[in-house]
Amino acid sequence: MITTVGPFNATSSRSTRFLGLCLLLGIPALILFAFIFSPEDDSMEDAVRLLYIHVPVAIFSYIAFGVTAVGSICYLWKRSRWWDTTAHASAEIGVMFCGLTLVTGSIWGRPTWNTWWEWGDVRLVTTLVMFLMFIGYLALRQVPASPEARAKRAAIVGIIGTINIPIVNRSVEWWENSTLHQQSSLTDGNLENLTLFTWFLGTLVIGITYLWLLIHRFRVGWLETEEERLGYGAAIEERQAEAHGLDVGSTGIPEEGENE
Amino acid sequence: MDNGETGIDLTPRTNQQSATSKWIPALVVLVIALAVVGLIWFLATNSQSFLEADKAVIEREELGDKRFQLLGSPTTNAGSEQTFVIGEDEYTLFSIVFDGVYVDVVSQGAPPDLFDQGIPVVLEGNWEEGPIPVNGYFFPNGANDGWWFATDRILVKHDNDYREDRVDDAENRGQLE
Repeated sequence: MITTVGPFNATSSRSTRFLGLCLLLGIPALILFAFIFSPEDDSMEDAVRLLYIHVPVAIFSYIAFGVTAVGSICYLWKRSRWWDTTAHASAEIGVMFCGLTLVTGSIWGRPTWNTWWEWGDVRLVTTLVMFLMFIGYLALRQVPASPEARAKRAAIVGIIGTINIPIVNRSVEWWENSTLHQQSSLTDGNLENLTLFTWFLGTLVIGITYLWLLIHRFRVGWLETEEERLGYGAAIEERQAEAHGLDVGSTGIPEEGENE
Repeated sequence: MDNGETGIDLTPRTNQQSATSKWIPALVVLVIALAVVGLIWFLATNSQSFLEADKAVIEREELGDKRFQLLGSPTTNAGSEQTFVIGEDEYTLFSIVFDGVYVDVVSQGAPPDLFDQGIPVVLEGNWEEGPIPVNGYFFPNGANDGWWFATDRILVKHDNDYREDRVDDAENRGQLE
């Protein structure tokens, strides 16, 4: 039982319940606007509706990996478990959003470009590399090591992986003739009326989803590291007790509630 | 040390970090570093993969029968009057333009759904010279200069304009006059 360990008694709180309520209202609203109220495009027809999910998840994958970079830098600076846990939580959500970006982009590409995937396309390949880099980040965190060594290694990879974000984002401008991917519609002012509103709604909903998931995943991560820390502490106590010939009970691990 | 009741060995464990767990982090960092290097190499060597129609015409002799990706905007849509079946093969004939330079195209197979006049396309194929598979065909709004581009793959490079009164992207980019 880990529910009484550390500062959190559960992963939910008043703020996450409020965010969850916003999502309960926001997701049906987004579905209504995306599929019913917003118009189809003259040439792309219904494929344009992917815009309302593909672009927001792409933006929030950048933000999530950016938060991982900030958390990694702050960990190396402060050596704070809080920053390491934040970086880890954000990277997991970023990988999920980046995966969704690739999948929805591929679904978009088939009717729009006439291909599911192009290996020579800079936007597609740089996005895939970013996805794989952060899969590597998550894999590295699973390698057995002390919490400090693991956090330090992950922080270095988290910072290296973030170098790719501006390359991915700017690739459609820097290598315009090497990508089928269009440039930003928003910065060019090429969205209007309900299309623009629905895009904003999608961005808001995905943003709240990110925040909601981040808080929950952070708290789960905190509980995991707390349990790990207590486990280490108990193991050390056990070894010390053995060295001094003391009886520490059958397991040597403190019972629930003893740590408070 | 042995727990008499359960028979579980409670002997304190030694450090069991295996040799593999020591090199895995280094391997992961190495793979990620290689990915960064590979990415930079890819971007540096593929920065001009689409060749605009006007440049492709200038470089026609050098390109020979080399397969490449040609960028331009169709001057017509692909109606039934441009589609021909010869033997078991279906051909679609159309022309593209970039910066006022026209290229005639013979495409094997049907063009994609979004293929339309003014929407930029990327064609994969090679230059050919001489008679086209459809005898006596004249390309409307085309070059008709004896050279043609043989393609078996058409990709659509769609613009980013979703406004109802959008200005054709091809006109903005100087691909249509």
